[in-house]
Amino acid sequence: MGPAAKKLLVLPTLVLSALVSIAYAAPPAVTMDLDGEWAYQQGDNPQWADPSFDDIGWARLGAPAFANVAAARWRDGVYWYRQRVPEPRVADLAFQMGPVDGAYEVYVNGKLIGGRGEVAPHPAWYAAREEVFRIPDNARDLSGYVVIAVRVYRGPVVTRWYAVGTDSTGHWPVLGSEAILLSDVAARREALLLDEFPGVMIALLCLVVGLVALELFRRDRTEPQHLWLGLAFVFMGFDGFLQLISSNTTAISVVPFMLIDCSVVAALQGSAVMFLGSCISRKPPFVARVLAVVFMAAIAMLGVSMALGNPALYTAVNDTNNYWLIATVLLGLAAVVRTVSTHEPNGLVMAVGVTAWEISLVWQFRILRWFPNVPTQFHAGPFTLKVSDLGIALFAVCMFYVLVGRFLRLREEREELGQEFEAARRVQELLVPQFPHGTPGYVVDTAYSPSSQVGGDFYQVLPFEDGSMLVVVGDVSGKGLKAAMLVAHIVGGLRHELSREPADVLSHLNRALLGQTDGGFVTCGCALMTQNGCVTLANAGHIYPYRNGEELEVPSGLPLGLLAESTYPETRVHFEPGDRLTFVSDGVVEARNAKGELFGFDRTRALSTKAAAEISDAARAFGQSDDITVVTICRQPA
Amino acid sequence: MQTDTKVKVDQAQDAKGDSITILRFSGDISSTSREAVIGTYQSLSPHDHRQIVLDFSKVEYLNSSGIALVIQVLIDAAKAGQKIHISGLTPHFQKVFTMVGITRYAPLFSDETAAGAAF
Repeated sequence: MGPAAKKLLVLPTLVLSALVSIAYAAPPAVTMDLDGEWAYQQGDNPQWADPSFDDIGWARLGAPAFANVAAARWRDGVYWYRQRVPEPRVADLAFQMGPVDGAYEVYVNGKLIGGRGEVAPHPAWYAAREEVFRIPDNARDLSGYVVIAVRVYRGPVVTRWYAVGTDSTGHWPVLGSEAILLSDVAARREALLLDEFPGVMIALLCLVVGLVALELFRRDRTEPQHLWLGLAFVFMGFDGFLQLISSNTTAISVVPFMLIDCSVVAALQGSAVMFLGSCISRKPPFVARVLAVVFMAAIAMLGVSMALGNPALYTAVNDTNNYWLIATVLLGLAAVVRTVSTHEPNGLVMAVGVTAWEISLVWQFRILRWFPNVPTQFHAGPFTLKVSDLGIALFAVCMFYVLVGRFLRLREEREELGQEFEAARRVQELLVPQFPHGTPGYVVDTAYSPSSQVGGDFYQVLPFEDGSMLVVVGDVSGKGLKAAMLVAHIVGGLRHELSREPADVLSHLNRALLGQTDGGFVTCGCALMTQNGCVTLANAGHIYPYRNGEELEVPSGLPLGLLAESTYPETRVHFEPGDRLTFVSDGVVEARNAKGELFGFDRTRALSTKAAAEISDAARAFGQSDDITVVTICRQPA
Repeated sequence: MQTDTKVKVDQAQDAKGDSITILRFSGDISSTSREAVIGTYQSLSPHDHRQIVLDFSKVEYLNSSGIALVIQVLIDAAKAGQKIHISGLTPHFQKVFTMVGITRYAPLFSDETAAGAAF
């Protein structure tokens, strides 16, 4: 991390500290830890808040246990705790509750002064957090004592889950000046915020890396590795923020939080395993796909077990996670070996990132079983850094480096490809001219709209010295650069064609295309138009042309490039001045709208007397799915 | 959005008791359908499958590349001496098949029953 980044981290912390210090400048006051003996009783009775209630028959408990009830002995349900203590002589008397991981209500001398969550009838509780409640004057008396009663709902599995966090705080209830209690709590919250700050930054980093990876996948759908990596990092980042929200707000209570969190972690683990699998092969190996599903199911079951309040199910499922973690680590090792061995650009950086992440996972979550004294977090200035966070951060930085490299390479390749397509388009413009020269006596009108930069449709208008004109319109099955290359081949053949007879022209083209169409074919319509209005037509599987708005059925041979022995019968018709012949490609009749409806023959026929551009525009507006070509030839009045 | 081509091979008999093989296609037929169209046809022994119906009644979309695959099947079947009938095409594609000259190799029928009865 560079000096600039360090400054970025330190600056908000200093500002935060200053603000907290100003807000909670500690006045001289008195506080009293309530670490004496508490009476407690399972059950629920509003009478137990009454200061005159006799709790002599209740069990007794020390204060630390108040904040951390041993789950082995205690079941979920409602409990009441009571203690009678001398009242501190302060004007702003308040009660400070430790970070209890359950819902509770606090009564002082029988009056409710505050609480967190809902105890009953529908318990809802939030992540453990200290709270301070002001004791109003009407809850105090002149006896010099206060009776504090706390009504607590303790959750089932979730209680145990959070017991670890509660243990480490070790705070028990305190009675005293509201000002000093608030100051103490604020100081501890500030320390917690500082603890959480690295996690927030790492969550942010994960989100950025994840979004970069997803953007890369959006641009190149052939690389699913970016999808899995993007999802894994986005879920990592999301989980980080989810934890932050849960521990600092009451936006979401514990049970829904655990369900959401388990879902996010399940998605994270599944995506991460698929990413590791995709490092081994483009389609993750079967074992990786199975592991992803099993791992996701196991974590989802953890959430379900907590929601159901079933400790036995929770423990059973949680124990199996060791196996899935070991399997993930082994898969990661295979991914690292594969990445390094393929010598892909930045493969070593990627391998370092994956390795760091895996080591941190094992360190943070499992190494304690064998080496309980190994530290899992380190202090760096005011911050506490967890090993798992450091591993994720290093992984994210490495992958960011790799992704940026790939992003730049992809952009470079796209630019090169774009230049090549542009060159191909210009060549095609020369081969298929936008404004072809006809012959005196005929007006030729054309429209050509490839579905990509270059197309598989073509037309040629070849005038001869005697005033006749050969018109050829065709369509290569398929589209794009491959079809455009075949168009160039066909146009070259047509320009060197010696015969003017449509049947011969098609036969010659057919033979020239045999073995060249890669399993496809070429449809082609051909018309020789003479000065006296004689029109000879032949058809190789092309859509029938239209004459003055009516379909002209020209008997067809098979499309070109399929059979050497194909023949093409000729049809002769006479055109009067004003007569119009219209050729279209299948991109017109097979234009499809969003509902899947075809433009069809009826619409095409109805428009066939219009200008070429009008027909083409209508088909394009309907929903272009293929190259569109329209050629109209109108015999002019003498 | 394009959907995958699926094909189901069924057997039936004509009035004379001779076997008819029915290839029921569904989904879209395009350049990516080579295995479904050509592959399925080639998996049928020409000796055992003399009469074949290609049924397109469940086909949602058929482009020129898909038609090229059908023509390839028809040419191969003609060389192998197999008879092929085509059924279930929409009026639009009946017209397209006619225009590309497919009817020289295989007659078109409105449904599978008519196609089978015509052998």
